Amino acid sequence: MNHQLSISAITHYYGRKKILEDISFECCTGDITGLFGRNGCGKSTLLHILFGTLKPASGSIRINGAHLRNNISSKQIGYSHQKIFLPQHITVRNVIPLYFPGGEDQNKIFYSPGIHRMETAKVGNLSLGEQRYLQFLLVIHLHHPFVLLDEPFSMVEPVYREIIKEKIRELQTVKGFIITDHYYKDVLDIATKKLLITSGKTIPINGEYDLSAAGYLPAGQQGNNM
Amino acid sequence: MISQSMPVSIISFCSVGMVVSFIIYRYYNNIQYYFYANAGLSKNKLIAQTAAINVTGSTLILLIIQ
Repeated sequence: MNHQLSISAITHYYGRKKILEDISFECCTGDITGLFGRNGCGKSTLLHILFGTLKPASGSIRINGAHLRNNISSKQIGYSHQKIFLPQHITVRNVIPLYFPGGEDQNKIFYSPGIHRMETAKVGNLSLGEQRYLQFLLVIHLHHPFVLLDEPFSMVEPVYREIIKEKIRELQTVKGFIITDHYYKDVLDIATKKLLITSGKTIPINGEYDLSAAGYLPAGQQGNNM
Repeated sequence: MISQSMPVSIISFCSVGMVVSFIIYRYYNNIQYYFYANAGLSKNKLIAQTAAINVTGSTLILLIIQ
């Protein structure tokens, strides 16, 4: 089934400072929307608003035309936060069933590359990159039709970064993704829609040239990933 | 002596104790709310469920020991 997430005229302030102004775009099943922008431009704020943990000053979020009133209990949008939110004192083997009580869903995680060698370890004893990878796997395999990924590639070793991209492409047929990360090359590589947030507004972009022209990349920086 | 102080301890546990644990959790583990939010449990729902379990458990223990 195809789903449509519509973001209409989202505006948000921190104090008197306008962070987001009239943000509107759509994300459908099959879309990988890449959000780019400098630190503090409002990327994470927008993700918090979409997830439902922050109320915007104005604007609306709809899924398949219906106003999204409580995303958390309706389980429409999953969110992998830029910080690790997994319980630290539980082993990987025990944390997976907390999200996936069923064996078939669990197997998707247990048989994912790299999980076998970490499953007996406590989450808190894994490296930050491993924790981020595990958090990513757990969130993308939830049954939510949309997934928000805040910095999924940061601190993750190159091999896992490729696996993350493969997984997103694999699930693209049944989900819509919104991704933001300063590893812009990885995001550009998989994104089907690319938006730059600058001065609180979104600008559609095509690639590195546009990022450079908009001041996100310094002149001559194209070609490096970061 | 123990049987007299037990009810006071249990009542303290399920009233002040819950408020203290909520504040400590909010201060040290605030990020972990996102784990539960992805599973469909909002912060309010989580607090309400925890409070209900604590109060029910404490009441049962109180009834048993009295």
